Amino acid sequence: MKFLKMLKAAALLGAAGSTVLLSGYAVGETAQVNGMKAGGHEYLLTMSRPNQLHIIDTETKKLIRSCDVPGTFGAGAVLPSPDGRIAYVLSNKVEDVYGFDITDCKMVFSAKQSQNGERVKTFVSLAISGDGKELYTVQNPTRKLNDRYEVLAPRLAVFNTEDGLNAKSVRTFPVDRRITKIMTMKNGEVILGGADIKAINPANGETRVLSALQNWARGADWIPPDAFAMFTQGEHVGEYIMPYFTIKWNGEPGDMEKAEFWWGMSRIDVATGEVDERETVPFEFIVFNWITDPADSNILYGSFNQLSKHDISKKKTIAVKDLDHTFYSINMDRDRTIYIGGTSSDISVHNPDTLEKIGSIQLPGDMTTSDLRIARLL
Amino acid sequence: MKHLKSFNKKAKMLDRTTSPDEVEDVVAMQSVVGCTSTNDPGWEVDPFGGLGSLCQPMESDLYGCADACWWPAQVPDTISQYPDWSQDVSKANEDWRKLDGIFPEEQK
Amino acid sequence: MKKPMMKRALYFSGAIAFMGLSSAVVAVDGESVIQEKCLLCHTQTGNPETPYSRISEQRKTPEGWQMTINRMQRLNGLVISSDEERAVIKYLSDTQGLAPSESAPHRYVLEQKPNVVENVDPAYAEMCARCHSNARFGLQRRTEDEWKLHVNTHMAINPTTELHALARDRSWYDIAYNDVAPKLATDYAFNDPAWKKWQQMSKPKLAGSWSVAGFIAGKGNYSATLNITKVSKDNFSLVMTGHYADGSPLKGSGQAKVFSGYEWRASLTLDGVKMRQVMAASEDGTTLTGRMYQAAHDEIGGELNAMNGKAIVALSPSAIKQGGQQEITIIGSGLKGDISLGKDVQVVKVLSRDADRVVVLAKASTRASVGLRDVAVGGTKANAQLAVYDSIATIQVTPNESIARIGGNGGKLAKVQSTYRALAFSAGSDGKPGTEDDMRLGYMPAQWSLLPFDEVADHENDLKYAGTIDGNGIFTPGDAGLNPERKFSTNNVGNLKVIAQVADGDNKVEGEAHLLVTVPTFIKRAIQ
Repeated sequence: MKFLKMLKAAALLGAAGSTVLLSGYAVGETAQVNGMKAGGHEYLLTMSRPNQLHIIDTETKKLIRSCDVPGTFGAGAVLPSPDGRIAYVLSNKVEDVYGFDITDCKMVFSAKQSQNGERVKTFVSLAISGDGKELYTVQNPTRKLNDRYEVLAPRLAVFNTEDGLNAKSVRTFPVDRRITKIMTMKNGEVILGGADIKAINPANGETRVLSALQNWARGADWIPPDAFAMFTQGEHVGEYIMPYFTIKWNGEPGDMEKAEFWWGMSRIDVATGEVDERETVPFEFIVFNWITDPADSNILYGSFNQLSKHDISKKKTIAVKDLDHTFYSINMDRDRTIYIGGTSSDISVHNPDTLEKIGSIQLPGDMTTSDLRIARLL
Repeated sequence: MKHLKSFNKKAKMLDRTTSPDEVEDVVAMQSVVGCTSTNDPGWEVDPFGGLGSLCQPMESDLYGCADACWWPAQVPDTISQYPDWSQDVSKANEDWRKLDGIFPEEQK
Repeated sequence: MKKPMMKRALYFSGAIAFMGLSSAVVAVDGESVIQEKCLLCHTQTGNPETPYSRISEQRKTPEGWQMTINRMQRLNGLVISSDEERAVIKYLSDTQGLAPSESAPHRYVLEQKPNVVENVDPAYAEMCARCHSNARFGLQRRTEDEWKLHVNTHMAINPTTELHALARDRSWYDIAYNDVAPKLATDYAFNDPAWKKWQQMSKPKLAGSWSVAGFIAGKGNYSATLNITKVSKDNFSLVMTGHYADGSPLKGSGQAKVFSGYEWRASLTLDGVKMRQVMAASEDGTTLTGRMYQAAHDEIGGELNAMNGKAIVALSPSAIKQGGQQEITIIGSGLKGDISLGKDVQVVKVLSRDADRVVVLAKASTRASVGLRDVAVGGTKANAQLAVYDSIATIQVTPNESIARIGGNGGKLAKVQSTYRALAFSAGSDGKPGTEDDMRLGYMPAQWSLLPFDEVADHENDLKYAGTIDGNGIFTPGDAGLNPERKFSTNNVGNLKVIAQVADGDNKVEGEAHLLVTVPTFIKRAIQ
């Protein structure tokens, strides 16, 4: 049963990682790396105060290792390498990137992005090429002069992961302002989630629009969407989701009696680049992040003060469960077990069918805005 | 849907709303000096003019606000101005009593 | 361990402690300090009109300059002694301050007045005032280049500003830099002639005796004589003597400093409590108006109006019902001679008499016409008038929109209370309340209570957790911290209505205000 589910998930996945996943499974779970179950075994990665990377076994739901990260806590952005071995994290007030071997906490990569008099901030934007050789960040530089600040244009920075410690970017390309979540597609382009969602070719900097949101052309009956993503997830099915909120007036703009309030999303299949942009469910409560059920792409799960389940084919919220406290982020392992985290110091574990809480993973500090990422260790 | 009427797309509503009274409550509360009107979901008041859609309890997401510099007039930002604030308190929900405010103007 | 304690203690010293009133009078010259300390980074422009880069193209209140200097210490390595800082603030406030007409629209924020709802230009509401008050930028004057550099400062030190709601759905930086900054340069212009004109005018002389009427939440109305003595240029000592509404004596003394020729900042101990005064002298020097508040709890305070010399400043209460008999306190100073309350309002008896207050038993005849009466004591005519009314039509609870913040419970942040007053109106000659001719009857005693604001608040039992209100209309919020009894273990926050019930003969008239009991703020600025 479990295996069938997994196969179905893998089939739906169709993502860059899917072949990896299947080949991983082909060797079976007996494989080990540095004493850790490998062969595609899943680990949940997150960060917490004071500044640690945590590795949690999804099978046992136990915290198995915590790696100290240099510098002041950043935003908790975490990026697993395609082979699941390395976790790249943002640190030092979101200026530095560090890579750790999750099997022994050894630091294998570092890049101090603030160089040459610039102060460079990266707002969660971390992505990696399918072969794990190039790491991408979006840099937002400012420069402090003697008595004033200069605001410089944001750029995509490309690092060679093999450069190891104290790596410098090898290429940069101009990008839009306000970019947060980025993700690599199977064709090598990097999705840039800003006001409009674009894809950039990291080899030559060419960009194209994947989903015009701020500049959508729907006319006066809709307000331009408020689209935002501060957390990265979606690797469980190979998707990139940018949630948005919008209003449809159904008449005179501003007439609240007729207005409809909608959640929507741009969901991008990272294998095909196909964009699914649509309103999902009426805006009735706050949801910070969504993920898709691997068994049914019409089913979304969301988290905030509630864990919620939505059927977007019917534009309906089908189940809601109040949580113990606010949780920002959500992710899912291949057994469809839901993990919600961010905020406080506990990851809440839930059954996707009943939404019941089935476990809790305690961490030594608050996760603040940390990602929950799934690493499949090959 | 009734409680949603006042969702704050403030300017858009105020510019064009046909029934401004309906948004007045929310807008007024967010305009009280010292409160933020950035409602995603808000610090003092939520987009619906209440408290239920704020992060709860406040201590759960306090560091999420601080580290992301989300309400820089209410919560010290650790991203640039106050990197040391709260760094000695790993769990805000347990040790909130140790957290101090920033009152730099009063130090003189 | 020592540092936070220190910070705490200093916090309680209040928002305008930069006055440094107790500091020895060492002649530190502000301009020399600027040249010595600020020009380590700022540069000489060579232009005598604007000699120092950036600094010379801005004008601010003393609090505004204080915030700037504090930011320089926090972020840019400025090392400056308290005396030097005071000297720079004084120098810049005097040479690059705001004229009285420029600070007038936003004085509430200098006065630390709580629960002010600002009416913000839509161009600024989302771009600026969603994080901080309109007053913070409304009390600054800059050139266009300076406003633009100010946008850059925001981008550099609050880099996620452009990601917040109401920013990420637009080209925030471009709009701020290219649209908002030029508008600010017009609306809040550096070269506004008001300042040049004010600089040339002779400044109010503040030394002397002033008649004071004021209000302090919990104490009620008071009357006093404020004696101001010049110590040195722009430095004064002050003594306040008078009475609270119940007749008990009021006495306080302290020191004050004047900035920009009219900005009065005083620190005093009033009946054992450390207080602050933030007032503006009128251009002609006849009045001082502003607010006095507790240094440790700036939300506890109230308005203070002082008039130069002998005057009647206020009446308490300032209304009497047709056919009614009640005590009225006339507040002022030098109150000697016969008392007149106007046509058909009789002084039945003088109950007590001091220089600063006369308490009379007054009776309005049943035939007394509805309307305002001039009041006089001897040759002194009142600036306040007595309203004769038929009935109370409406009660307005002030402030109408309000917040309180949870605190205490062993934490380091104090509770922030909120205080209310009931303002009565009669319907006026058209008999309809809410119309232009409604007559303001003034503040009246009320019975105070709380209700849930809406169904959600009722369902969440906000009333049980969020706090209590006392007989003086002072609301004390609940304890800080998580409350496991509540859903999500949420805090003792709540959405409430504050109800005032005022007696009008045998009737009761009610008014209500909205109170949101919410989470603490972890940052406090001289200008919020």
